[in-house]
Amino acid sequence: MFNLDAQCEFIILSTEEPIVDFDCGDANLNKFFNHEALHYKAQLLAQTCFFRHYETGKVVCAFSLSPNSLKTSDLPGSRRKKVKEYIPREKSLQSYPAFLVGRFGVSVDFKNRGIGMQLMRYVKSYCLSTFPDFCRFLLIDAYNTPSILKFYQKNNFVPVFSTEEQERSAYKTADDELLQTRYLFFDMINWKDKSY
Amino acid sequence: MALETRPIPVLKGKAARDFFETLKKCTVSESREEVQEINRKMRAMLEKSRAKGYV
Repeated sequence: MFNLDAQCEFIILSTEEPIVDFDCGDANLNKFFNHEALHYKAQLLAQTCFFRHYETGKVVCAFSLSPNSLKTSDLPGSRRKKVKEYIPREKSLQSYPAFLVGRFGVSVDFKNRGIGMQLMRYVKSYCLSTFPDFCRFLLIDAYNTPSILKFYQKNNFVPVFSTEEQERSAYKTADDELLQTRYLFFDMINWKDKSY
Repeated sequence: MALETRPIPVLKGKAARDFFETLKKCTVSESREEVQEINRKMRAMLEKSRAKGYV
């Protein structure tokens, strides 16, 4: 079993430590990590982190994070009372702090070694240790394919919209049009609760 | 595996109600010991990386 913590070093992307020749098998993701991530950093839009293999110097996996939020419209009084059971606050919040895992990829050279699962756990842990007071949700706009959705569900991500129909309606997408991606979230409070 | 192309619309009506219902059922598969071990490893990696100027 490949162990990210034992066999790699953790790096935040910078001009001194860029990502080069990363190939996760997806052209869009490769383009982002190899060419765009530094621009996102320079423009204060996203932070990109990666694990580099000690032995080969290759980038094993990478992810990017951007601040985001989940917004809800005001709920009726009875509902609001119920919500306070899970998110207690004097007044109901309507915008909940979140981090968007905008990009997430594992190198083709290191596929099928359980690295995706490890990386997702470290993303959660990294968010909690770096932004301990304002990372209630992790969000992912995941490709709408069974294997990818299954991967995120195994990591306890659940759809923001309970049905595809709801998501289509929110995005005003035609009924017969396939959703290319689905928004998923992970509630960090559960990770935090098990951290102590 | 993921793209950041779409803004997230405000959750309204049934979508908002369903979201809060789902929230109740959210879980973490890992045990407390596993989560603490992952956090410990992450802290150790961050410390090492900090010493090398990587973070």
